Amino acid sequence: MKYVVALVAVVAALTFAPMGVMADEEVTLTGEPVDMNCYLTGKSGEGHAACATACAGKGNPIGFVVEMEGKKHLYLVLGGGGKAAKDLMAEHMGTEVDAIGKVAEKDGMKVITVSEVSVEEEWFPEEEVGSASIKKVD
Amino acid sequence: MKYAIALVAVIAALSFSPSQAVLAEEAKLTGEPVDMNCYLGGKSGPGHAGCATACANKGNPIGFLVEKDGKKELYLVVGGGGKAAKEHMAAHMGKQVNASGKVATVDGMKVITVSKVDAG
Repeated sequence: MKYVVALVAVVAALTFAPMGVMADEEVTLTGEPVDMNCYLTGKSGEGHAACATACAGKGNPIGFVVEMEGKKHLYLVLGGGGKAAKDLMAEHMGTEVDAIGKVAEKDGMKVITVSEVSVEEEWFPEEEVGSASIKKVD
Repeated sequence: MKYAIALVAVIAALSFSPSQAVLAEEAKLTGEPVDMNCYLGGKSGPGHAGCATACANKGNPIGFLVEKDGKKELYLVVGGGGKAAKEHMAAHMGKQVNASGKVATVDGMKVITVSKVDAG
């Protein structure tokens, strides 16, 4: 459901944006930040996170892979809010995160100008706590 | 039978390939290196070369704008041959140059891994 909402938001943002101009509305995309040099050679994911972090820290371009309805979309990450892309993304390479920012499509390239990144928290069911009852004693 | 074995070998090689490396082809593209932040703001060309050069040197991502049959195509520039993208491109921002390297399309994004740049 989250992916459907994100897809609708992205489509709407791109549809109503003038050609090549960034959308005004911020959207949240869920995906994995990847080092572009590594990704071109087929390397990504948690097992490659340390290398990707080092490469991103060096200043290599950073991509953001979003999977929607079984298809992968690769966005170029640009820094927003006065921060460089690596300042926002380097520590999250290879992990699934939510990237909040403005998306645009320019001459065939999808771009997200990221303002904030948040890590998806794993959901654990709350431990069932035994119910207590108070018995009135006369 | 020989062809069947060869076919099986090719399929096996592709299936058990350790990575999903992108197939890239060597090519020479003529176009303009642009700073991606500037370009999204509608700024490019010789009149914006000074700013684009400064932005590229800061480490902003660099795009390469190619015009084919009246249609603009934007490639992401990745450094090749042991050099970062900015080392290849920063001196040429806003100008038409020839970029040699491997081009590929990965998950919808066009990329050129540049090995050499010469003035157009």
